[in-house]
Amino acid sequence: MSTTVVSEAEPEPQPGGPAQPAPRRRRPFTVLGPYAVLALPAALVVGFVAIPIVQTAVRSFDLLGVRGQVTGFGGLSNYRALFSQPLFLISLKNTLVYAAASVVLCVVVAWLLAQLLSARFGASRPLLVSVFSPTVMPMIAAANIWLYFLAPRIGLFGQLLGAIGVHGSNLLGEPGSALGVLVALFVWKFAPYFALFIMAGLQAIPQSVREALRTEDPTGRYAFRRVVLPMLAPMLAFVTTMALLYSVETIDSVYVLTQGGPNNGTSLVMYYLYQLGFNYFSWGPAAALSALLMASLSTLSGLSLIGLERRAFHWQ
Amino acid sequence: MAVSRRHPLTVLALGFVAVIWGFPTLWVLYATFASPRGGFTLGNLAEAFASAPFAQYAVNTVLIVGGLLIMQTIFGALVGFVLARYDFPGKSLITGLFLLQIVVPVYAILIQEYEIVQGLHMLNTKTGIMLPYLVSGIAVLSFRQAFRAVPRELEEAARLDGYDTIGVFLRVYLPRAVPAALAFAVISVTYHWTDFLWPLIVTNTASARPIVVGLAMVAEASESGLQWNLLAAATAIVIIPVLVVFASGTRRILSAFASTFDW
Amino acid sequence: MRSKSMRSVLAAVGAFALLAAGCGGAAAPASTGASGSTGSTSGSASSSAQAGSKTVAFDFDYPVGVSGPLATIMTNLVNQFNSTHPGIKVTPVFAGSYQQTLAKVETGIQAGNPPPVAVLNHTAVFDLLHLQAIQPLDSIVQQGDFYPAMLKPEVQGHYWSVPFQRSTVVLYYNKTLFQKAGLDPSHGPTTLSQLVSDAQTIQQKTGVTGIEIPSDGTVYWEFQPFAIDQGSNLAGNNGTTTYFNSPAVEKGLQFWMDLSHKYKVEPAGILPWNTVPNDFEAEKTAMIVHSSGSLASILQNSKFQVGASFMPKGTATDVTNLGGGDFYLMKGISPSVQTAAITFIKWMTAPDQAASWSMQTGYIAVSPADYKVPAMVAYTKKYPQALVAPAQLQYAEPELSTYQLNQVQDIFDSAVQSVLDGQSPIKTALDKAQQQAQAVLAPYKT
Repeated sequence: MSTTVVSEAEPEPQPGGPAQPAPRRRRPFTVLGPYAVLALPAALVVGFVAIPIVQTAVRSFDLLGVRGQVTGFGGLSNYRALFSQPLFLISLKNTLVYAAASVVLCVVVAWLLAQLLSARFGASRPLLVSVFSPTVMPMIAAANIWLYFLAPRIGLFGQLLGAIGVHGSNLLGEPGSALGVLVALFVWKFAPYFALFIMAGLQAIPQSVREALRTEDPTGRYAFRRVVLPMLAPMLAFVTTMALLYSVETIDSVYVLTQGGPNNGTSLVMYYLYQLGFNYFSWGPAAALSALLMASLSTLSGLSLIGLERRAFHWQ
Repeated sequence: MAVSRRHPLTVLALGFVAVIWGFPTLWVLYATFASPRGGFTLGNLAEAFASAPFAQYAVNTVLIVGGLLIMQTIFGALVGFVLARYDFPGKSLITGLFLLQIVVPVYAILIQEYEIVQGLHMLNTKTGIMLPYLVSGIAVLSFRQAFRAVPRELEEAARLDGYDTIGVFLRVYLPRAVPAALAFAVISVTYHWTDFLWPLIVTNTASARPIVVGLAMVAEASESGLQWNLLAAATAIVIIPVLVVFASGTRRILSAFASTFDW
Repeated sequence: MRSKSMRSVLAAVGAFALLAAGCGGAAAPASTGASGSTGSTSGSASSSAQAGSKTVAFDFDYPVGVSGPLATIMTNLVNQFNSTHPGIKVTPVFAGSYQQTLAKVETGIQAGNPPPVAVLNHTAVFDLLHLQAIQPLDSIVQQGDFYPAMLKPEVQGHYWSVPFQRSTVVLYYNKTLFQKAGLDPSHGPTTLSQLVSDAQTIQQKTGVTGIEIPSDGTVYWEFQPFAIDQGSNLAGNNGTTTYFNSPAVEKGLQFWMDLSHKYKVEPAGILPWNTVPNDFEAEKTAMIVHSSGSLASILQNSKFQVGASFMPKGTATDVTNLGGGDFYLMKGISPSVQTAAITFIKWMTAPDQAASWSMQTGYIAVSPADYKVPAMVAYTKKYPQALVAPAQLQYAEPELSTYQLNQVQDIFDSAVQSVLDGQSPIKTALDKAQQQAQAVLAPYKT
């Protein structure tokens, strides 16, 4: 349907076309055509992105009834209610710890993987399939695999530990180690993915530069600090903000592995939002949390785009 | 960077990496096909298939992911073309709108999206799952970038041959955007078939539920505890197809990931 | 032709923009009310004229513990109803876990098109009442001969649900191991001190862990008998009173801690609901506390003699508490659907069907009459363990049930877990939980 729109304002192709100057022929399209083509997709973005953004902000100041309907203006009452929930503050703290640990480990592991694999990128398919299998599978499947692996006593992890004399391991049964498992799963799932970007960045370093470095600075230390790192910095900044965005959005692994427990030790903000909205039907605090999440997630992904722009990104 | 291929430490490190990332998955596959009495069995797989409508979940997933890919590609190509080749008032505003789609993830406005789909009476439908994703800013920017790289002279030549705008678009521009389109297809398919929270809250029943949501339900606690063999088998049902596809196109898929944001 | 297609595109875009703006502005779920349900795809009830005779069709949402075989059993049961009731067509819809099914029904209510009939946790009654979603079912309950324990508590003077899939907390023990350890395998420990000494004996003689009590998921449920035994349930019957920091709860929790830390007969920390039965089946623990509904799968997976018994008690009377799901009838459905729905609920909970459901699933049948159905008599002769749960019923107390139930349950569960994990002393954790629960419930007090 949309392709016909393109020809909409276009005059009939004329048999003797070449005689006519091109600019005049294209003019009708330039006047109306772009808008006709852009109307539907732009309307979809307005309807499903722009309007919800405004609504999310507005709704957080409304009083909401038991069924989510607006019952009046509430000012900051939703925010007050949210911040008075102990679980919200716990979730916020958990998320900070989780995101910080996940991002740092993820970027470091991705860097190491990129170093290790860039020498072998064309080489062994089984290796690539095994390293990148977590990248192509859903987080739910990955979490299921880990759940199966970590189940106390019956899981292989426990059996392996048992074989070396460590009994009663129950990583998901204690708040600290359960959060640690979530971090490890995040790194396992996403570090290879981010390594791909770092590898692409490494490959973008011109061959001549690499060879010059190899002869002039065999230990590589100076080269790393003065040449490689600055060249990769925008890519690393992009990967870091993306990792941060992904970690704040985490919910799948919590849903499968811990349901926020034990003792709320793995309740992350996204999971808490799901709980507030779709389990507690606590619409007021949910609206306030939505607005806060919208602001922070959008800031993060905006920052990652700016990181990209510094690399090679053109707005216009 | 110059890691030696034969250095024993490198080999050791690569082996370590392969085990850490590959072994848990292999173990689940082993648990699926190994009979408790020794030998090979399809029993767990059969039981998992009987335990939930996985076939229907799979069909739903294909329809949702395929439908989204088609719509995102059409919109992305058209919008990308217009943004790459035409100037008009308000262009930067409209470009900003599509950037907004990238900057604000669906998760950031989840509850409002839910209310809109509810207002349209599209809860528990495949269309309802697809609606917020129909236009992809990443597709728009990828196509725009690919179209910009097409030399103007090719277009002029085609125009001289008598092609109108649509002809130029189809004959000159689209063929040169195929690599970008394929790369985008990998990204889009991977993102949407692994998406969880949005389809979870939109769907109620098997008629619209995609396979990832169905899989998450297997892991849920139940009255009599978890059936671990079912958990392994259901996970295998979901990951085996994607692993087969990935194994057969490993490098192409990997380079598509790496070029996701190559605008 | 061209201008026509142009116009239609513009019209479509305009319409879309209006639509989007419209729902942006008035997306409040309930603002459209029940009238909005007409065009809905998840619209749940409809009447259609078919070749002269009128067929009433409606959806019935149900959760099952395990999605697998139980879904098939339910579908068969409903098909049987449909084939014996011309004019009614019920479509069973598997909606997920209890919590998910409740969430789906609640969103259906908010959108104005709930399924007319649903099986939901019997403890959901207060939240459903608050949403003004359900109708009383006094007539079915009064005509039936249900176990009185399953009808507690009566809320606002009515019965709001019909018992269907119920279970109790029971103690499973490994008879073979009991024998090996020189203990009497004919019954499990009957008192708390016997529980401790039996567990210690087994650990000394066989090296197998004494007991495991799950402590994740719905912790409050396994815990309730230990509190009731000490003299107080977790909550009152009005939906707003909780006794989370009562001395009885404190003593019960102290006993849980003592099992791990003082008597050392239970692994310390949090034990998953999902793996505790596996540990029992694999003879890694000699006793477990679990749902009576787990009996069938435990029997199936165990290679030893399985015993099921009452919960051990610290005082004179036996205790347990009830769990499980009931039939609910929603408001706002047409009279013809309502009549058909009541017929359906009655049929599903009648002795033949209730007995069949119980035998196939392990849930307790809901009426003493169900246990006189011939097939059931034969079944309980073969598996006498299945009679433990119904025998417990006369001592059973209601499951924790309040307004804002999910939130209140989570508050208590977290408190127990913080104690088990050694992060918080008992008294502090319970006081905090009580205060948080009361804060959540304050708006519901009249």
